[in-house]
Amino acid sequence: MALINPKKKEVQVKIVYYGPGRGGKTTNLEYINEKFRKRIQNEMVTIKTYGDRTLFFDFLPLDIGTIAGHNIKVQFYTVPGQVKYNATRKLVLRGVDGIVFVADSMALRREMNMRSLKNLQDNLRSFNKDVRKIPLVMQFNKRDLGEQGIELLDIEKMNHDLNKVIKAPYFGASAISGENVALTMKKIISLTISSLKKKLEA
Amino acid sequence: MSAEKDSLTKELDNKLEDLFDEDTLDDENESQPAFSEKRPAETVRTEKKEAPVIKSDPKNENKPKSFPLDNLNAILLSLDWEITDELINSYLSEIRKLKTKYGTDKFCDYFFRILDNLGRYIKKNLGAAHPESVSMMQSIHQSLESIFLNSELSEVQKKKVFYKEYNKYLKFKQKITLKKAGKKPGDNDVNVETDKFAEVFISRISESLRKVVREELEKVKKEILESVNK
Repeated sequence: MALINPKKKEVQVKIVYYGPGRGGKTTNLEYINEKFRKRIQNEMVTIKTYGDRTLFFDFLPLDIGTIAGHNIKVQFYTVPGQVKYNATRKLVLRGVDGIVFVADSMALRREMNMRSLKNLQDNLRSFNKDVRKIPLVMQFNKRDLGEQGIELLDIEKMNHDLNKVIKAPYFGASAISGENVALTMKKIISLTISSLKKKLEA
Repeated sequence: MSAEKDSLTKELDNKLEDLFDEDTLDDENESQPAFSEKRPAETVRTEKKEAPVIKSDPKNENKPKSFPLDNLNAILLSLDWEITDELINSYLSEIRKLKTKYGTDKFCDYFFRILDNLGRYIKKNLGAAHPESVSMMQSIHQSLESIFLNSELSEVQKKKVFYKEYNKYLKFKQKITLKKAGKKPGDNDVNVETDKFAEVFISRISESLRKVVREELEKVKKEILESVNK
């Protein structure tokens, strides 16, 4: 749950990038960090990596500024993809307010996307959270690989596989080129803040 | 309330639009280099592009729809996500099948042997296997694929591709050996320390025992002398 400090009029929300290993979660945050560095004025922190793999997590804090008299701060996290790091994933998911599920568009990764989504559902359930109710954006990443002759799943098929029940907003994207990376981020922030407002008003 | 909600959403959207407006970025980032991070998932693939064999087919345009190594590739990608007994068994069985079918080529056979060794190592260690194990397999798979895709490769070219991977494999093996060896000297150190301590302890006890015996003997000697004198 978001941290709200009424005295300071500060709201802090936590958004987690989730998905199978090597799907591009870290690259999403790296793109934002590199591209909007001057505006963000915060540094991305990567906690313990081994080679090109995230073994613990990445963290990117972002100050949105003042909205309706409240200073909004967003904390972005990514989780390690491999199953053996599920304890870390669960830990990072604790207190999550919004999720971006980064799926890999490569045809060979279809099964893994589904297993990772199932893993997300299970982990959320352990915190009494429902994947259908939490603010979530689906990102079908690595669309650029199609140009290199690599077989990709088409967006509608991916949407059917992963988003049939959840019905979350979804985007085809390329974290490496930045296509729809910012759009994904804008959408999840917007959904998360709106959901938080609804909860507070209820 | 609804109007207020709309105004908040609008304000938020405007803020986000300003923050993430990519059109005005060019002016701001003129002095900043463009984003050039390598996609982690593609690191191996990009490296392979630099290899002489892959250069002739950088986009795998010649790769047929149904390719003999597709199944192996799918298993490797699954292993990258999760190492289970079931998966590693499918992997080893796939290697066996490929070896039977394509092992007549000397270099393919060498590659299969290495892949088999790596598979057995992972099967033995599962989640505790070296974190680079699967990427090592993927790298070998990429090179093997390049041999499959380029039927016109000469023996010399194949040898070059093989030795590149073989050297990587040897380095990887060395890493595992060093990791294992790293524990043993530590364990030995503890034993050496324990032995040294025991040695000192025993010598001190022996010394004090000797002293006690010597004192007792002195006493007995004195008593005997005294009784003789009497």
